[in-house]
Amino acid sequence: MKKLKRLLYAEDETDIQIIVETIIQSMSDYELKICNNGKEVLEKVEEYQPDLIVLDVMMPEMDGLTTFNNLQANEKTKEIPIIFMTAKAQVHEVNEILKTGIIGIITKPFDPMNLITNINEIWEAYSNGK
Amino acid sequence: MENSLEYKINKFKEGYLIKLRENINIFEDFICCINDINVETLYSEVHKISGTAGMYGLKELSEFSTEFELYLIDVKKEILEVDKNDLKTKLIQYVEKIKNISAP
Repeated sequence: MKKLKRLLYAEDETDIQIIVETIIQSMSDYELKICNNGKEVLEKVEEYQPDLIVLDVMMPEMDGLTTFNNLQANEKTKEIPIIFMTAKAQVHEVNEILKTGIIGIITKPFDPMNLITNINEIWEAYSNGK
Repeated sequence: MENSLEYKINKFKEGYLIKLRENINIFEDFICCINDINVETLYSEVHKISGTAGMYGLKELSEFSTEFELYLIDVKKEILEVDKNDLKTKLIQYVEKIKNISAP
């Protein structure tokens, strides 16, 4: 199984950014880059070369789905696995979201103490399925 | 211990509760201007709380926000017609909920 080392996380809410950064630094050995929206993801992804991207679905400037479509349309980024973060209120859209080809979904609000476990479980399932 | 993860998250929670209290005026403005309310803007504010309150263990506020968010999604999609009185009542309840939960 390929080891997860480098994570790119796109989230516009600063409260969530702070928690994610603190949790990932405290509870994992991942390298982490945080982007405020999808546009920043597209600007930074090729240089940063993440193993995994976590995308919030609702973001300003460029939402998660549009970002995903842009990543898929680029030969250099289309193979990077993606997890979507989606609100409970949008959970009825999960089936549609899963059809896009992402590797997993994490529902917001998430328990910060379980975030790493959630990411690792999705990563492990993805890696073992390859 | 001050460097422990639990301590840090508790500190973030304190800051979050302060921010919630300070932002009550946003929802009070919606109540005042109910006849000219921008549902999309309101939805955006409720969505923010929906996505963050639960992270800090504020389960009641999180669940209430999600219910409110679902209501607003239907309003936005025009599945539900906006009843301004009903919306105002929901907003007042929401403000009370935030005040109770974020009270020092």
